[in-house]
Amino acid sequence: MFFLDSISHTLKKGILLSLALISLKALAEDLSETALLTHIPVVTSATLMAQTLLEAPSSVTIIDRETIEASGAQHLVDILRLVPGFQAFHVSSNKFGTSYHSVNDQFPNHLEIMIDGRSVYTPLLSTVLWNSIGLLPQDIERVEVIRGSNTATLGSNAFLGSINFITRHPAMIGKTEISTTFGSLNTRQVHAKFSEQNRGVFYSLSGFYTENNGNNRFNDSSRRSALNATVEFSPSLHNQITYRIGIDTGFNDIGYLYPYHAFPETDRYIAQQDYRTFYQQLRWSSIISPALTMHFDHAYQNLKLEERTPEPYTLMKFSNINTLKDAQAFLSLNPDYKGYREDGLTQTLSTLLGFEYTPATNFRTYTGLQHRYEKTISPALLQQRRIDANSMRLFNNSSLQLTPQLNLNLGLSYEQRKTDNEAESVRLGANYAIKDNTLVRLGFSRSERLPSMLEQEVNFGINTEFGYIPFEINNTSLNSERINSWEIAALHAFTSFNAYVDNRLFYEQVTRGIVTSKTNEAHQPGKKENNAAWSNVGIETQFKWEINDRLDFLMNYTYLENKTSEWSQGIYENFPSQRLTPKHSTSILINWKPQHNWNVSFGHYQVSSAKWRKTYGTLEEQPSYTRNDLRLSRRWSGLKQSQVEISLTLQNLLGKTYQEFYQDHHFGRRVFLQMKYSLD
Amino acid sequence: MNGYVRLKVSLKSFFMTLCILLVLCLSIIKSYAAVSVVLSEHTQTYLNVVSAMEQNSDHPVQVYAISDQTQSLASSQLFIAIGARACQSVLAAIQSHQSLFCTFLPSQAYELILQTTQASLRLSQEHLSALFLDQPLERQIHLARLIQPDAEFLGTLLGPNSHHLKPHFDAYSRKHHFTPISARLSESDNPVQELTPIIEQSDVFLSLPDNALFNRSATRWSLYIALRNKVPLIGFSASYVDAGAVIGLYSTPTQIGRQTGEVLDYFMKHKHLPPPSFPNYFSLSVNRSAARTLQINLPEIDEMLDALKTSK
Repeated sequence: MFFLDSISHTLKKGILLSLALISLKALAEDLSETALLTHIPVVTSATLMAQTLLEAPSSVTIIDRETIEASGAQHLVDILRLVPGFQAFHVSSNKFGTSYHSVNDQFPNHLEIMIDGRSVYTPLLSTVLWNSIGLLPQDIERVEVIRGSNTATLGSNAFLGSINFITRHPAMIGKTEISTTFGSLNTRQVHAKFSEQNRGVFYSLSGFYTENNGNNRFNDSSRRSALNATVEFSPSLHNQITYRIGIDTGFNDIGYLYPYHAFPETDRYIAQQDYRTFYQQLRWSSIISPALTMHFDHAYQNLKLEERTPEPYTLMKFSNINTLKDAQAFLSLNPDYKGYREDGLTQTLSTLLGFEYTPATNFRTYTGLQHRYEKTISPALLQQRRIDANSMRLFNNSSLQLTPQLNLNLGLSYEQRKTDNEAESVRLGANYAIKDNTLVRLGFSRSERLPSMLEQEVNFGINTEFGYIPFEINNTSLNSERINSWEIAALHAFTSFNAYVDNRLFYEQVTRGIVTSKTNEAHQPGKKENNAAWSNVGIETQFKWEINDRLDFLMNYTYLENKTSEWSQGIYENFPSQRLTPKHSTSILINWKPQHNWNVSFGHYQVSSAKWRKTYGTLEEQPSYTRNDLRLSRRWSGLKQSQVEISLTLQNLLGKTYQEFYQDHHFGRRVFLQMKYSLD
Repeated sequence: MNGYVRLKVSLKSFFMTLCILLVLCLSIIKSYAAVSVVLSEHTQTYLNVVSAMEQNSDHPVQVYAISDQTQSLASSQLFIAIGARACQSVLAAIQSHQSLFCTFLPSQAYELILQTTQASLRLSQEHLSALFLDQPLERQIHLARLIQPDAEFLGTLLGPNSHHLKPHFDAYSRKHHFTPISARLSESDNPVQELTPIIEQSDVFLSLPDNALFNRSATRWSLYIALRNKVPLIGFSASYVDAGAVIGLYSTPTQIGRQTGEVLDYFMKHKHLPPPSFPNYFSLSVNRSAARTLQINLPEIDEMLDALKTSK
């Protein structure tokens, strides 16, 4: 009888409880301890959900403003030397590239590069033109780098990883900031930023003018002007709108700085490439309910590239044409001829609608639908044709806290361009917290990258008196590139030392890689084929230590065993079982503030030998190099919250010239003097 | 033969009944634990509270998730509810002879729960109490004085759940020789427009916790505007400090667990609960980078902790 009473009592209580639980959700969502425990977003690039580094399904590196300044970086790609596994290179004086675990040429195409979440990828060249994106390191607040495939979140371009440069928020900078830089390569630069707040609206205007003469041997110069504007406001507490617009225009000299077969032995063809970039971006985030947030992102980018047509005498010098008459005849038959064919117009329009939903405290999900429209017109590369394509992408990232120690992440993406191109990606991550300060992550991803518009549609050749001779023709039946990757990562925070270490052990297998192939038959043009495969196995370590208020230490080391397994370019160089990427790379940054107004930072970079690809085969091996940078700065605080800073940056301090990318591109000692005035 | 079958059926029924009773007995024995701990969530944060509590108390407890607390309701002498959801859930079902100690929840949530459940009509003060997660207002204002000894204006922003603190904020500010400045922000307001004049006038800005939505939306702007105006901001969590607050004052789950363990021992000894209180144990963390940017020389953390503890 006692038991029956007890059961009956318990059941009654259970009914009461279930009724009570219905009303609990309202309290939990509105006012509970989660209000005090809420994490302020740390990274969003991995899943588009605000996550801490310990929750993210990938290895993430964050480089903050202080580190960017301490590095003395003069170009955006230089910042990436401080990311494990990343290779940052100056292809020539004013052309740059970065890659991660890729066997790339001068057009790296396996990373999604974003500015404030806006892709700056250029469909026309299937890469990013760093000197046309309208930003300098002075504009950047922090950089979020996802090391490992991120197609599940960002689509095809993030095949091997992604980088998001987050610009300085109008509220985070002083009212006025002006800086001038002078230095090596006869660099002359002025950068200005202005920000204000009026009636609850923050806005900023920034711009720069920069020019340099390139290196002494080739005079591959550059001149650029850029203007950016940002407006940000919250019409109500739970709505936030950001609008950005900008333009970057000028020219960069481009060229192959290696003994190309048609070039004279000591001379290299340098072509001026005029460009103009225009972009707009509108972002709107709205917290609809405590559990649901909507994100809307619309971006437009237009890039016009105009490579100068060579003069007849130039053509004679850098080709097999021997007489002025032949050169003139050639140019009359090919009025749009461009030596490097980096010419054309490209437009990108992207619209993303995403919903971040948190139905339970241990489960979060982000579902997004993205439409992307790409258009290119390029007589030089695409035979005058206007080519456009619409693509749609549906993706979902979910995070489930299964047990107190175990957090699971699942990412899925389906992407379709036209009707015959599809790419599917999946990413799984299991984060297991051994202790509060120690975490192990197991990850697997299987990602696909749609062939770029250029890879599918490239079509160029020359007109001769005997007719048209194609050099490369399109291949619309290309398949997606594919990567399977496995990783084991371990993060440990030395809480009492203000230090943390992040290790990543990985194995990646890339198949169906796209390369240009040419058969042995006479006069057959080249064509892109899925003829390449490679694998990477290695380890990356990042160690950051804030020794005290005055001294910070950052070290990255990467061991990468890269091996091509299948590589066929027809009659040209094939290289199975070769290592192309650097085996060891190390970067160290020590940032010391000996006194309140003084700052001394020292950077050390060591990269072992690498073989960069060219269209067919590889360039001559880039020997290993060591580079040391030093930056000294002194600040003076003036009246009315004004401040003056003078800094001296010495790159490659010890002055031993080393090869960077092309074998004729030598990086010697460089010195830059910067003066900065800011008014709060 | 029939007799044999009947005997077999009877024996089978007997064993089945015995098994059911055994299971029920085990269940009842489990529910006889004198102290039941009910968790809002079965996550590491809440388990850290439990773990610290067990380390600081001599009395065994039985831990339940919010969904299976029915097992514990019959006979537990004391319930310790960890988190607001657990507190509200247990309070809805508890009997008048039982006691409930709610811990690890904001003071505002506790007050709201009392109002909505009319618990005070059923439970006496000796049987119902709480340990809050948030810090007493005076402690936070005292910290503002410690980091800015010469400051005159102390600003804050009040939301839908914290606006009732205004008289206390004003009174404690004056006690610590500040001139208080505050504004109330509703959901339809432009947060920048409301925050900017407050922060511009302030020498120190104190960020007070409100509901999760308010915190999420207002926090970011507070940090931006404070940093732009070179005004030190005092946050209420460690992650706030990571995001840019110069200093944060908060209690960790372990500290709350420790004090909860002490309350458990007190209850077992005196058979009644102490009055609701704010945490005795708390931490400070400093964002050195933000302090450098604002050019503030903060006292040593231990010095500030000692000063705050002394004034308790």
